[in-house]
Amino acid sequence: MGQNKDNNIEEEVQSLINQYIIDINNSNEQIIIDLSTLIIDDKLTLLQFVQNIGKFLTQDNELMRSKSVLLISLILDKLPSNKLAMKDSFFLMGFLINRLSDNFNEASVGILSLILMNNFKSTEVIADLLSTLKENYDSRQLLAKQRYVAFGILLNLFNKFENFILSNLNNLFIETFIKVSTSEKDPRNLLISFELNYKISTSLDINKYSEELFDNSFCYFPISFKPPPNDPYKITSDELKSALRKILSCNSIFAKDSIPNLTQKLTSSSPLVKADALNNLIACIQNYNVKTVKEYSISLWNAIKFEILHNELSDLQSYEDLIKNYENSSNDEDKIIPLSLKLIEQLTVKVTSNDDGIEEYVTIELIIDELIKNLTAPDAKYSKQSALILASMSSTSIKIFNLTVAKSFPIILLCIKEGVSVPKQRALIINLSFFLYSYTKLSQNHQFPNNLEILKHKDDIFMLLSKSLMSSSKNEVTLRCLAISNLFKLVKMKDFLSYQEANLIVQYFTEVLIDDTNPTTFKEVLEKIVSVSSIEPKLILEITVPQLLALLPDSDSNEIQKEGEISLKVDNHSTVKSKESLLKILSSMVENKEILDVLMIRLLHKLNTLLSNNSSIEYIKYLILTMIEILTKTSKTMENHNQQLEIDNYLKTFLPQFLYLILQNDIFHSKENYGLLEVSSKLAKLIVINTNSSKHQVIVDSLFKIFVYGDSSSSEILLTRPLNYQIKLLEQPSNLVNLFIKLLSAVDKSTTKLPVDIHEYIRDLIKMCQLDVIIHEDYERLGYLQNLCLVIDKYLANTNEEHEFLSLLFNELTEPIELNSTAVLSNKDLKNLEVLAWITKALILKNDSSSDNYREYLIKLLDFNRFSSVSSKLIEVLVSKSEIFNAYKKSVKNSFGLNKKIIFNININLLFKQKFFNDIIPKLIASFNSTPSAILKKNYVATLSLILKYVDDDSIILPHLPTIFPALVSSLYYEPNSESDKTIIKSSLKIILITLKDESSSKKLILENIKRFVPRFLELINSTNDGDIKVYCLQCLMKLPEVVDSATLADFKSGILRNLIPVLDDRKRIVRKIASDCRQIYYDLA
Amino acid sequence: MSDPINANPTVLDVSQLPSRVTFDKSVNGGNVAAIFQDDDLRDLLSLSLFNGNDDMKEFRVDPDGDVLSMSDPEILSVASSVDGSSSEGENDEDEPIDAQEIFDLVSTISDPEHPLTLGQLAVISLADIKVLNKKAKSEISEVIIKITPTITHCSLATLIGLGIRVRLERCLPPRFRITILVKEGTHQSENQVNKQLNDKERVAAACENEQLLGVISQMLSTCK
Repeated sequence: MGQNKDNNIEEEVQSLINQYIIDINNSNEQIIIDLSTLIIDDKLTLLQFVQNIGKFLTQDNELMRSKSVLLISLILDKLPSNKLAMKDSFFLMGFLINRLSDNFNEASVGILSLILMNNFKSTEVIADLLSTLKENYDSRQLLAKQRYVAFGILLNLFNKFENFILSNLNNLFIETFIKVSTSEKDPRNLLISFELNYKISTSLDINKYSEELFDNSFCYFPISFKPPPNDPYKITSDELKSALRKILSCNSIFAKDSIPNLTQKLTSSSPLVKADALNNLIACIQNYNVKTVKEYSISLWNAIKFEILHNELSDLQSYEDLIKNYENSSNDEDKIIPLSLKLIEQLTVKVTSNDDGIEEYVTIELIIDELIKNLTAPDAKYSKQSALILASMSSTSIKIFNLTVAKSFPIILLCIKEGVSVPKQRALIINLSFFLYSYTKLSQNHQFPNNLEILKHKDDIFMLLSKSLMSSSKNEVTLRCLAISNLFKLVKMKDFLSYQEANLIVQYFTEVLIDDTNPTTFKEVLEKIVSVSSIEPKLILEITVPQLLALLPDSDSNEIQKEGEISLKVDNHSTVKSKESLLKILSSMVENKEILDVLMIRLLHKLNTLLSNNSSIEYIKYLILTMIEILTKTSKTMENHNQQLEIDNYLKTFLPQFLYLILQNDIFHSKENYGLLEVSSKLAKLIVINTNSSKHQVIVDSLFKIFVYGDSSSSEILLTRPLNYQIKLLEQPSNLVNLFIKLLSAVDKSTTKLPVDIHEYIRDLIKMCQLDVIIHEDYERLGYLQNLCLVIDKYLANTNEEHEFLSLLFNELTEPIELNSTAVLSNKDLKNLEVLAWITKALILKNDSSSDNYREYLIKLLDFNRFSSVSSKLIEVLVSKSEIFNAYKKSVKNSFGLNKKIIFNININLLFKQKFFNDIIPKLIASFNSTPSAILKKNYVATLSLILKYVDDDSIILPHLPTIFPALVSSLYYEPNSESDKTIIKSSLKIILITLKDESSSKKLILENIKRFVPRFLELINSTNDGDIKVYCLQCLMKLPEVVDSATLADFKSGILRNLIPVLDDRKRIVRKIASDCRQIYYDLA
Repeated sequence: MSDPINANPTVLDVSQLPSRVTFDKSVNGGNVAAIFQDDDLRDLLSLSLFNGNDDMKEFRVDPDGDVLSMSDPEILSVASSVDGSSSEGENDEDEPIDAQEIFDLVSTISDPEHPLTLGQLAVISLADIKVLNKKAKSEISEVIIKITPTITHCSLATLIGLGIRVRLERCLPPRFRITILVKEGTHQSENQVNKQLNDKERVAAACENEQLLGVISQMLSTCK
């Protein structure tokens, strides 16, 4: 049986081989797979297979011979790498090497597969292989793919037998490589060739062959390879470049060839070649040994210096800006300068390194001496360039920095003593500033010794800069700005200035800030002061803040009366900043809590002074707004650094004083000044928001005591002293309810509870909201309504008991209202509706399950003519913004101990608007489409536009657009005669304008309707006298080209251009302006 | 390569150009916060049911001097955001076309040689714009602009003039006659340039030249 089976296999193998040899198309992949499977499954030994193929190998027919060798190679390629025994591989290798001379291509594939076999370890055949390869390789006869195999053989041989080759076959391997790699052009082969060359040059002894190896790689320089489209190997020009660079820089022995050749390439007219040569030289300097680099240092310097010296440098005034500008430049020419500087830096590092045991500075001193000749006049031809090079060299080590400064500073600074012109002074400062860069760079990773050379010149530098700033004319803006930015650099430099010196600089800055009127200088100095305040807040607090505060007038009440006096003052101080700008400057300086604390207290004192001096409301308001701004700003800055602003001490040092001022000064709570009360309340709120919630219950208790019970005797946390009157919000309506709710909205909802019965309190509030005395006191009434809303949102629990209470309220409020009556709405009805809307708002905000009947009721009102005047407004209440519902977050630890940010001051579901809109918009559209009543139609569109006013995120309405859009376009066709028709057209236009902003989703809609609305826009523009409608139409037209392609618009272009001519003569300038902008856009339409 | 003949003209900063809105937008224009605050408040007050009806429309004057309008504040803010002075409806004065308006139209045209505007290069200055605006719209009004080329042999003076003309023809109502002249004594061939700029036929012919129109579009693309 076994014999039989073997025979069968023998026959099968024979027939497969025959088939393969006879097949002239060479495409029978299956045969190779079948045969290799037999061998893998051990049904056929390799020996048997070779025996079987034997007769073809000795055939006279050349084709058959080569096919049989190829078959063996291909089979070997398919076998797993552990298949062959050592003996087999040795035997096969010998066989294939013999075939190389006859069938190079076929045999080489097999040889490569054999080398990759695990068991190929026969070093004795390598020499034979290499010499045969060397003899028989002829790159001209071979395809790129076939040459790839030859490279593969060499690379894998080297990887596998590196040590053996090194000790036995050094020269033969190199010679073979040179033979194989010469005149290679294929990029894929070149990458391997470069890799091999690199390995050879770093591992083998190449003394004899250095020139040839160098030539074999350098002949490709500069590489200008561009990958062909659909290149399967995805080889990039950069890959080739860096592989080549690796070779050229890997062995110092190449220096004698590489450095002269590369420097010669620097004369190329192509900036790309130049840059490539520079990059190569930099790599060479970095990698060659110290001795070699020293040898070539002078010739390198001579080759490179003119790249910088002969270049016109850009006008930029600091080292960093200059380099950044050149590096980001789109012009290849510009990249030469930073590269050349880098080369000089690297050269400096290498030449002064003592790796070869000799530390010497001869070369460097030579270079420095050569350069400082150019520095005698700061605006001389090569002066800036020389300073740039010297600074660049100095930034490499403290020693060189000292050396350079010692040699060059006496020369640079010499001209100061002679007195210099302004342009010279500018050039001088720029040159100096390069060295300040070196200092800064060195200070990042070095500890400076005490004998730093530059410190000897500190006084001169300081003098020069401060003189340029303080003694030059204010018209010398560039010079002064330059001085400012460099003085700031001095402040920033580690261990450079003493505190007194920095102090003096800030003093100068402050003077400039106050005196200078030039916007550029002012901006520069303000920017630098703000920067100083984040590095060294103490300086700003000691100098700038007090000076600015002193300038802030104590009152503005006499400004008008005693004009003469003021103008005198102006003369004294040449230019007094307005109080607004002083406050603005102060607030821009607040960079951290330290400054905030001081400024808040100082401003509070100022407020006190202003109040006692009868200052104007604007001034007081602006002061308070400034405090709000700095508080918000600091809290944001700290948040960005993951810190939380904690100002618990303000509850002692600020809030009681502040509240006492507000409550005791009539100006805050007179009926007319609610703008002022509003901002003051906001400031008080912000302070409470930023305090620890453990204090909040005390605050709530005191709040009720003071504002509800009229007892201000012992509430130290909110008031410094008792008031001389009583506030009883629930008995006597008062504007102060607005202050009360701001504070109540700031406390932590989870740690506080109301000190009163909540049902009773709610009923009291409703009573107050409905008082006839405040029916026309909107600010007061809305304060109470918000109070109601806030209490329900924050303190009414989501329980059945409370739900019952709410439905009871609902019934009480809605029962008196008759839906179907035709009578005009009474004040009582309106009051009930208003209360209802605000309660609903609270419920919707926290997504309370009992909100449904409230909400449905309000939506239902839209369907009744009787309520058309108020129904949309009621809906607006639900989504309107309100200061008290601003959500504030604080971080708390969750159950896993991780910090989590939660909203602590109110109950708010952040998606409530989205939910509400998704609910109401379809209803509005459906009703709009079904109702025949024009009044109701208008009502629906008006509601829609009111709601959309509160959409922060257009994505809420976008899904509904397809349904809304046609309705909107129809409503454009109302004639804009009555006020309400105008409103509706405006609303529609506004929504269309939103639609036009979003490109993808609304494009289809717009295209469908464009024929309807564009002509209507033009009609409206020319028929109405309402400026707003005109402006909206024009804005829509202007947006159109952003959404619609120009081919579609081409049909409308001439019509639009023609029909806009009349508006060019509109009586309103703004309309004319937009019309001409609009026409410009359509003229430019392709 | 030799330097361009007029490589370094004097350049004015944008802030130095005459403008209608006189407040400084940088530090001194710090009223933004104050206005913002009142906006919030106005939004809130507009929610009142007792003042919101069209027929009850009234304006309450805040002691701060701001008008608290009960009309839709959004519309107000859109309109007023385009122009500093809001078109609130009640300041119903006509605003006739004046020299400043012409200046605003043409000063932002780019110079064909420099990346700067004609206003910055002082090619156009407010003092050299005359507007004769007839009260009756049926009568012909006139705009006369004198341009100052940056150098006396500026070969592009005609191109600049043409750009200005195209801009004005697009932006002014047709009742205006536009005359563009080179300022006396600022150009070597003053008469020729003036003749060319105001010759209807030649202007029309120039505007049919695609390439020329392309350059002009480029110049006008910076207009604000």
